[in-house]
Amino acid sequence: MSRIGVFICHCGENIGSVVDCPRLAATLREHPGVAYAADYRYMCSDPGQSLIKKAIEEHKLTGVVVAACSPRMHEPTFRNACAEKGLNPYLCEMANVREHCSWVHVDKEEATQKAIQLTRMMVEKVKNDEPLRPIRVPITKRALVIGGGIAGIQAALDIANAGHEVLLVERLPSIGGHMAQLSETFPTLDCSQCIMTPRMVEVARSPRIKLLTYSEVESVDGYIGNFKVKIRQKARSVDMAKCTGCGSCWQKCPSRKIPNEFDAGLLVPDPDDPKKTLGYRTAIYIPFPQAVPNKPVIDREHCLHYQKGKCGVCAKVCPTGAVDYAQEDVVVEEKVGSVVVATGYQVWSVGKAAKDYPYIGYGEYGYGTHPNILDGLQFERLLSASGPTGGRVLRPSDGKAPETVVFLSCVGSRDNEKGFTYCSKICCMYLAKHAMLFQHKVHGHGQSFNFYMDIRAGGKSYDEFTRRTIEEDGCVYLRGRVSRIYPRGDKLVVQGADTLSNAQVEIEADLVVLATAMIAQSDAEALARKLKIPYDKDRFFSEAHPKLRPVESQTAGVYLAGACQGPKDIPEAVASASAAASKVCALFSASELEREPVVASVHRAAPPVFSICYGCFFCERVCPYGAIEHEEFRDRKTGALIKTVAKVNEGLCAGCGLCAASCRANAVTLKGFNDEQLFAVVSALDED
Amino acid sequence: MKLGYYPGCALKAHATSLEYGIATDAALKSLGVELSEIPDWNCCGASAAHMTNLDLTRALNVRNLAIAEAAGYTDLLAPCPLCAKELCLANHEVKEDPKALAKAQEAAEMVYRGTVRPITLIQFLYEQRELVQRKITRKLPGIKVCCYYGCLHTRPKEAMGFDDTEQPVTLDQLCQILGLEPLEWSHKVECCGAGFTMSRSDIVARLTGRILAAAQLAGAEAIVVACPMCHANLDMRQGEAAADAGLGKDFQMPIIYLAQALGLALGLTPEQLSLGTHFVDTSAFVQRLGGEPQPAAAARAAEEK
Repeated sequence: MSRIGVFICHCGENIGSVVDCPRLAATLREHPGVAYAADYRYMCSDPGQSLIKKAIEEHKLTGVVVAACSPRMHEPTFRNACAEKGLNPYLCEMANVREHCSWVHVDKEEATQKAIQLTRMMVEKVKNDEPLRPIRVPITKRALVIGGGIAGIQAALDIANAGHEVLLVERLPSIGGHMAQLSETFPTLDCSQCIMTPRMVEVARSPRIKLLTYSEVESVDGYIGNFKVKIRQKARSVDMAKCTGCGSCWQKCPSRKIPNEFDAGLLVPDPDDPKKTLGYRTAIYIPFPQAVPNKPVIDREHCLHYQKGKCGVCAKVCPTGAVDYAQEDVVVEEKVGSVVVATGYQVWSVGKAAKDYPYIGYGEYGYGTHPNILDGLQFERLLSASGPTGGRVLRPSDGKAPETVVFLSCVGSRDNEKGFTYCSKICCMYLAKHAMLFQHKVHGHGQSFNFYMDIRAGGKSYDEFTRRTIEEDGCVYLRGRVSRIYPRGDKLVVQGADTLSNAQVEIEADLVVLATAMIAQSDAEALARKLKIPYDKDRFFSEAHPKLRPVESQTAGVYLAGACQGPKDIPEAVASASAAASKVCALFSASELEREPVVASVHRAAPPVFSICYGCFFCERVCPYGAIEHEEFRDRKTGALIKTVAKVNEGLCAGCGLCAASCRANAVTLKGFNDEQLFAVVSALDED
Repeated sequence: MKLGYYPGCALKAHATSLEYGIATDAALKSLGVELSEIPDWNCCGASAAHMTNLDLTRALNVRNLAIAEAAGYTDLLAPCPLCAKELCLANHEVKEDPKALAKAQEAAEMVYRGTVRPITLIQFLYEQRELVQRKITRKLPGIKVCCYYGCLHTRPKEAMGFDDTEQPVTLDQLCQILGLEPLEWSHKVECCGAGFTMSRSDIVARLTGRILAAAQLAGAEAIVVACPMCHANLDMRQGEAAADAGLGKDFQMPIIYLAQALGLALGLTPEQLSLGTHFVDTSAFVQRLGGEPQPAAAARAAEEK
């Protein structure tokens, strides 16, 4: 005879204000097989858990039902409490009377009736529950980090410094990401490259980090502790082992008119030599002088050798014979135990329709049609000592020093109509920095204006920083939006509103900087599908819980770091990367991994050949996780094949139950959700 | 092709923009589109009703939509964007809000099932641009024009659902098909002051002055419009606008309706398109076309040969 304990949580007011919890307890107390029922204000709290533990002992409970929130929230909490008192944790179940009842209903009587039903159903299920044991799987103690920006670098270094091997994969020829492109960083005005490049070098030197640049993840299979990844190393056309990075090749390359991606496509006439334009790179190139690895790559789309079959200068001048025109892509397969996704963001290129992208937006701002209208990243390159102008602020149209610069916040951010609903978070701060650096560079011979919606400067020393831009450096902040930007002579007319003085404003500017939104990478969805991780409406990867599991994805063993998850500034990206790394290290701290035993199993009998599975493998077709394997039974003497049946790989199975539902022979069972349990649950509904 | 037609007061009743009505009629006929005026239509409410009583405007427009629906039209052409905006907005609102629909139906004493799509002339021609391309008998010779959309062709966005709100391009593309050379310019959708045309003509003069000056700066020989209000303000107030801007001489900028430009490209004569009834002389524009237009029928016959 079952002796079930029923514990009803008020969840403060969350449940208690709608569901009559004492009555729920009283009703369940009368239910057959229930030995004990009680209600309490916060069942998940320490005294609440003690109540359960005490009842298990005193009433010799054989099963526990907690009527409270969603099992996604606190099932582990209550199962652990049961386990402490020697009750198999899988004999503890939750009835969801919060999300499924009190939060969605208003009528107290009806809600209470529903809560009674929901709780009774779980009592019936627990009566049929069987004790389950966690599955143990081995762990490959090696991590894959996707993305070599500051977040990926931080995660890779943290994991490596803890003694584990790391595979760092970067799509571009060099690691460094967006941070390497920045001029100085708010709020301390540290030179970005000065703090970034030592970390990049550290990555290159670390004996535990295997760096794969110019490479992309092709596929990810397997499960936590045991992932198999395929990585495509794109043909660099340069033999990394032979190349010394001497630079002879790119100095001699004749294709010199390719806008450098690292300079965000910014091109500026050279003020010292009007015939020259700054911002180009060659076809064989390193993206920037501090690149890691400091070895070039050939951009085949712009290389004369590949396009016209001519040239070959780089191969001729290379002293070590490292240039290899015949090099091909290589796909390598690697085994890792966990994955850190740190693929970062891109800056929204407004006014230009990107491929497969529905938004055009902000044509009235003229971005892409006038050289003096820049985005934040381009102005960053204009300010940077490593930029095309060497840090001199010059107009891209004519190379003259601008006197009036207008900055626009929220171009695409917080704009339900034309852009994205979210706040890009970094723009208020970087525009303040841009204005400050501009004012510093022109020494009082210029004026900057900043159109803003709100100044969002929450963060350590952040508000002080924006105040400094306004009060000490004299940037004029105008609260309002800009309606239109158009050229007049060699100036740009910026029409806007100042909502504080309730006036229309027209500014003749030399340069306009648009703080365009920080958006997800174009191929974020494709990567999410490879990793089987969810993403939100804006295609940023979703965390398992926004507050309590901020760096874990829904897929076990896959962690998130940096701005691939949503807009983040550098300190936040670094913090999340270190958090993800610590999760990886915690996972690697054990030799084996315990997994939930709620997995499918295929019927086996003694002898196994009597399994009722007849090998149709419909289960294999419906399984989204590729967890169905083939098991062959052979005659022991002759080795002749007698029968092939399905077998579940418990490491891969996620317990979704599709195989169990679709099995025509009824040979597949989902542990914890077998037919008897589910029938019992449904039958419990008949009582009233 | 037969198309439901709602002329509204400007094109028909008070005929403040009679030339727009005449040109639309003539050009679309030449294009092979039969305009079928819906029977017993009423005011769209754009002049006064929409500022005083939203239920009234909605009822007025639901009645017109219901008439078009009963007559069997799915597309209802409203060449005046003020009418189009009122029709589109009412259509959008009653689809979203069943209560508003019930109220409007009761007032209009008609049933409306929501099957009609009101469209502007720009939208209609843009959707039929392949037909336009096929039917034109001559390309207008690269005359530099500024396309002025005004405020209502693309707004409110959720009701009109056509083109980019702030940087529309469809009229430019149509003009290009006709052979004109649309210029990039700054004041495509700036306000002409339409709402103040009677009460504060000083404001209107200033605003139209800005638009005209911007077009002149861009190097336009004419401005192409598709709105009676825009046309009235830009065409009628050039003297005031020039005086307001302190300019010595008048702008003398011809303001051409899209329908007129279309008609010319289809081989109609300036007279047939009422190009002689503007305040600003359009003869300079017409002369730039060079030579007498070929009659449409003759041109088509030549093409067939």
